[in-house]
Amino acid sequence: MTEISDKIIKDIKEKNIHPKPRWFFAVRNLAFWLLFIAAIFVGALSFAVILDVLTNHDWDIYLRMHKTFGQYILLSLPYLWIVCLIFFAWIAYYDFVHIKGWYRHSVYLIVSISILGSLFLGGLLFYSGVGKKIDHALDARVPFYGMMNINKRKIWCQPKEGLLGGEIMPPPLETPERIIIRDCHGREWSIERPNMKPFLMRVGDRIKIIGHEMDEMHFEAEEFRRW
Amino acid sequence: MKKKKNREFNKITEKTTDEELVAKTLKNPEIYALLVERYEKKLLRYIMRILSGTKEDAEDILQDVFLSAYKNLNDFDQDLKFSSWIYRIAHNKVISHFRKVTARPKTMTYEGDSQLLNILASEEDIAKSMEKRHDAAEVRDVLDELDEKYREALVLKFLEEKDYKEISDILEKPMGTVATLINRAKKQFKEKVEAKQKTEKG
Repeated sequence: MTEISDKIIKDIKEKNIHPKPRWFFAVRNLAFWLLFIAAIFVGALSFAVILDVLTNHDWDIYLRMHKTFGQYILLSLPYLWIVCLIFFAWIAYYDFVHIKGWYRHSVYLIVSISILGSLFLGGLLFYSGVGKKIDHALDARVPFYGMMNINKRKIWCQPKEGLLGGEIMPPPLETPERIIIRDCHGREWSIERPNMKPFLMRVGDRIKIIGHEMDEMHFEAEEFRRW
Repeated sequence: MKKKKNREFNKITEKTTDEELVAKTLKNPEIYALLVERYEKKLLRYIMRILSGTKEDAEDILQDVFLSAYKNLNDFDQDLKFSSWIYRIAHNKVISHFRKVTARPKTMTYEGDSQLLNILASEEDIAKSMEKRHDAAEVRDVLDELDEKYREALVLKFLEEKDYKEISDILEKPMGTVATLINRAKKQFKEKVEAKQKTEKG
């Protein structure tokens, strides 16, 4: 035995060192695989919500806000979800470095596969309505998420510009056909709707209305949109 | 019991592969000494070539490499050569050492490093720009000036004489990336040699 091999064997015996069991490495590798799949899936959910937010966005109202289309795009992008998508692409990259044998493949190939996987799966989730459900559920239940939608709230809190959004309140008993909206400042508005047939609305729903302010309590609707 | 262990040792010859030794080590830890003996010189030389530190640092890292390899023997991937796997552990330990040590003391020279210049000169045009023979220390100086990733690529390819597949397995990079790394490393090495020449002339 050489001096070093002698010392190594002594260390192994004295410190009672044993090789880690095979299952430990199998579980670790499996965990990295699962994390990779989870990263693609959460990335897909993010993309589904991004598609939902962008396709349901009111792209036609930027002129009412006295903004250029470019400024309006910057104001409208769902930054939280874009950051989420990038973060999970990074997680997929981090995983790539740790999954056994994957270093043989190009990092660009693996990250591209993970991003394209997220986009494809995200597209499917969007078409199946999952993106909308997530956006609505988070908006209704998570206060922090509502804060992230602050731009949307601001946009629909400009009655002078003809943009009013809010929650439908119970109508007065004597005029049950009337629509009452509570806006983002807590102000209640009575909505006039000459010759308009709105979609089915229930108390507690949130809607967006394009029209014009008649006075401090009345708003004439030209168009109703779902929130 | 001791006789049984001795019988196992006696069955091992020079022809016994590293991979077979790994399997035997998992049954009898003392056989690990044979793997250590096979690699201690090669790995110490490799660590000294890529490390910015003292010989004592290199020896500490070497021990750490062997202990770490032993603990992770069950993670040894049979698709790899054992040498690539243990060189990879050494590479990772040196990287960790770089992270811990911020100061970069003057590094050691290693006998035989001067061959790097000859090897590269035969491939490139460096020889033409050289007017005198360069010794190991001078080559070491040039290596020291290279980016770490380039220095290691050159060391593995030309001094440790590893092929692209082995370098890919050691550095955990795709083979295409390894080829690019080596080309860039050669280019940077050549530039540094030429710059050194100019300074000496001036």
